[in-house]
Amino acid sequence: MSRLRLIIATTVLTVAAPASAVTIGSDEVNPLEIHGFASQGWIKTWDNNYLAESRAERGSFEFSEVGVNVTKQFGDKLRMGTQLFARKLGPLGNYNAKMDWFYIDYRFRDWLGLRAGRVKMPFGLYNEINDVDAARAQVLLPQSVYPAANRDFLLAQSGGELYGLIPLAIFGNLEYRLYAGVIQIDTPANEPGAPVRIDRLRVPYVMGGRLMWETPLEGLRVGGSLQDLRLDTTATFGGVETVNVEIPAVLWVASAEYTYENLLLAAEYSRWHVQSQNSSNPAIFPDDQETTSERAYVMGTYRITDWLQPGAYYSLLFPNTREREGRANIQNDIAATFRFDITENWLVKLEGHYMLGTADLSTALNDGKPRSELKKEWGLVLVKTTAYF
Amino acid sequence: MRALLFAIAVAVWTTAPTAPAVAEPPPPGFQVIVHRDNPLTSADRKLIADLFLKRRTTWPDHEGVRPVDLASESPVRQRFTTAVLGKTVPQVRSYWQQRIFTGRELPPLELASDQDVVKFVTNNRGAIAYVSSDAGIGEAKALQIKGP
Repeated sequence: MSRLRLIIATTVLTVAAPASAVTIGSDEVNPLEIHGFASQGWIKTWDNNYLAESRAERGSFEFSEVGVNVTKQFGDKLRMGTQLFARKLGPLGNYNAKMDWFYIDYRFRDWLGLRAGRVKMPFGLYNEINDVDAARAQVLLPQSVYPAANRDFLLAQSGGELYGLIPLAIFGNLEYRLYAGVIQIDTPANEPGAPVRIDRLRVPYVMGGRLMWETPLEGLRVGGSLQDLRLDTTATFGGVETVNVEIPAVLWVASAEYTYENLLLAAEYSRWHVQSQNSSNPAIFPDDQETTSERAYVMGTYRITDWLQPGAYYSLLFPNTREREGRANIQNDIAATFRFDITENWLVKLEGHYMLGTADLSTALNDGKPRSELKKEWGLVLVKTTAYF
Repeated sequence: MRALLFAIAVAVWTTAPTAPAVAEPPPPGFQVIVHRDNPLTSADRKLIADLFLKRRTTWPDHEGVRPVDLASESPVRQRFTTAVLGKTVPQVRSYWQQRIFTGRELPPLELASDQDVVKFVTNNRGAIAYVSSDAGIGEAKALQIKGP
């Protein structure tokens, strides 16, 4: 029923959307603006389930997003806005509408602005647009650096942010963003009979920033992002033993992007360091376990016409840099995408992936089988349509 | 896997661009205009681009900037976007989708005609806009564009 509602919403948006925002009010310069989008996707995989029950003969339609935002500018410096968002991605989301972001933004100068509220976190080039289908060519961003399943952890934080753009004369511009706050996470739905049940997740702090240098070579920007957070977890093992453990994590990514006319090239390299500490039961969940994952991709897109933009990328993931051998310890992903802009407010995307390795697969979605027993070589096709205004 | 490769091949074949039968006429020229009290008489192309992309939001005299676009199908906008912003209109649309749906910023006001744009610029001290090169600009002031 919920999916039916979403499909109807997509259709209505597609047919009725004006060329730009819906505006309300008599203020000609700064009206209240309303924007929105609705997406419906289809996922079909061969051999392994990915993100949803996608291996089924008919694939899966559990790939939906809908969002509406309202923004109002007051004078030249103050702005506020909020976005309501709901999604369904396999077992995640379940169409529960949430405040995706809300903020009060005051820009003192171009080089110093302050935002407070629940704000999206900059991480790499594209973290903030991980759920903004209209803003990119791909259906799925490279999942090694931008995992869709981790959206709740990586997308937004509640707190504050300082930002600005510093002109460097002939050396280009420097854009900075610094933030600190907390992340509210819903406890994930646990699979019946799963050996580990997550009872509670809490992120007591997250802080980080992004520095991006827009070089004198027009279209080239390079930069780095850093994020430091702690995940406090309460889990029950085997249905009897409850353990509290703190999991601090440090994530960083180095980024480069070059655009020239209709060509876009991007590459990123990232490492995520994760530890465990202060376990309430070290016999079950030992302290000082440390894992470093390695993530990278190269990507290119080219807009051939106003309505057609093909693209491709290669993405690589090692969940643990100490163990690089075996199908369960690597994920290669070669993807090809076609974005069709049917109208200014409606697009369709077609994307194919060739996958080698099982590191990015969920065991819960694959009958509880360990990753080492899942099919090493597998494929994925996605079709997605989005209407927006 | 074979089905996947076939699907990609079909998509490539069915979407290959075809050459236009008749060459399109060159898009019309444009002039950049500001309010008559704006102290600038010229500006770097890069500065104008930053103002239209709202990367810079104040003039050197700290007046707030109010950029105005023509409708996205306007050939004058297409010419301006390519020449000054260094992007295509779809790229700029994509840029604004990113800004809108991440809560960063809203795109410039869009007006339907040169006359509407000139009227807006005349009435707003911080305005900057562009109109076709042969449009009458009334009390607005044309800004000379410098730089590559």
